[in-house]
Amino acid sequence: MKFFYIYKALAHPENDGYVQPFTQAERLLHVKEARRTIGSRVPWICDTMDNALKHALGDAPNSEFVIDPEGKVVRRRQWSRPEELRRDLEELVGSVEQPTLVSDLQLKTERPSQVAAKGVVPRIERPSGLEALRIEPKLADDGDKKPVPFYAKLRAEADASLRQSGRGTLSVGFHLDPLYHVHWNNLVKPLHVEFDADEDAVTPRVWDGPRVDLDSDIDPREFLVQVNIGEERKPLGLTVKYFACSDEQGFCLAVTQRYTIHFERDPDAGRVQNRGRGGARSGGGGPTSIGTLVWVDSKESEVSVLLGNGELKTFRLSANARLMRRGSDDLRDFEPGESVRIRIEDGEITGMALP
Amino acid sequence: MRALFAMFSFTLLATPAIFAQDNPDRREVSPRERVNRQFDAGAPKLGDSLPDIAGLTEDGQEIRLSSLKGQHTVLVFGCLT
Repeated sequence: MKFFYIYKALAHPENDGYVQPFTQAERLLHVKEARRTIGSRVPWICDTMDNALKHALGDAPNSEFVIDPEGKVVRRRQWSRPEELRRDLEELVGSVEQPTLVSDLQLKTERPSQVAAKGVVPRIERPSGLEALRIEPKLADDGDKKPVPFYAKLRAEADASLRQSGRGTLSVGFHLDPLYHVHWNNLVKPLHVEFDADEDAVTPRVWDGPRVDLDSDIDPREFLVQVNIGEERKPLGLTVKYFACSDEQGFCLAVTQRYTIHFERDPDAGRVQNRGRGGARSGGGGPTSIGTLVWVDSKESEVSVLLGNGELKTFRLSANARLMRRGSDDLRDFEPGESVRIRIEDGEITGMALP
Repeated sequence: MRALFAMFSFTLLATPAIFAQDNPDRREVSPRERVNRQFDAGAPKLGDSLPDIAGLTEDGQEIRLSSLKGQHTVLVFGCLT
């Protein structure tokens, strides 16, 4: 019997500061990082940058398949369930005398190394309903011997109005890729962005990052842009300049990079879950509401909440939802009738606590 | 008396929730449900062969799904986050 993990595009970029890779080499670095942080000995198959494996096998973030010796699918599950998988394997190939326990694997849960301060630059307040856009970094030409990596990576998100009519709000964020172990240099000019457009079409057309008192940090640099580019929604180019420094490798580089933003949703960009979790200070995040719990289904990870406006809504908890109830983070400890503060992002609860 | 009141309050609160759960049209389609629907529609079905798609091994060598034959094989999708 063989086991493989398939490494795919990030489901929740920004968790622990990780960002989507731009190149195949970077995705292979992610695989190495996954092996380092998890410590599993199961081999990985890395998806290609066109996400061919993800698309061909159902586009789910944590699905699992069992293939028989003839190469046919004999089990499939959209969400991996280790206990059910174990039962499947016992049915298919027989049980073992001494089953391996999770504790036997001595898995690690390490976090990325942190090279400078975080939580220094507050996250911006963002409108709801933003979706990630397809972006095209201008990667090095073939002639370049040693291309400069995208130490800082752009994530661009647009509201529905901008995606549909060409007029609306664009969220622009530059995130340092933790796999390069670099930080911003706050002793020099801050990150600088210029769009290839008139001030009428993109406001602000030019943006400079904030001045920061600390010499260095790793927080994202983010801002909102009002865009009016017409219904054609032609791609928008931008240039970004910044200094990336690595104390470990002893360099501080002035970097200039180019991007094109396409005003179409990128289905592989992942969904930011808890903006700021593991990255910057968690001042952002989705809107919070106070309501009364009327139904708790811990098996299905769903709750029904009577909101302050009298509306009753049923929500599913996101996989990484943060729950806090008098020291407990277990949904089963929440009881109907309790007043709770909930944070909702993209229709899912990402945080729930007693107010 | 307090217990009766609590039970009555809970019943009042919980009744619409039960209806909401019975009526899927009233519920928002969560990202998780969207994933489930995508998977049901797009993933290979039981009995299907895996598509002949290639990925890369950890050292960057091509590996094709169609080559995973000869023994039972488990594939689990994952990523750093």
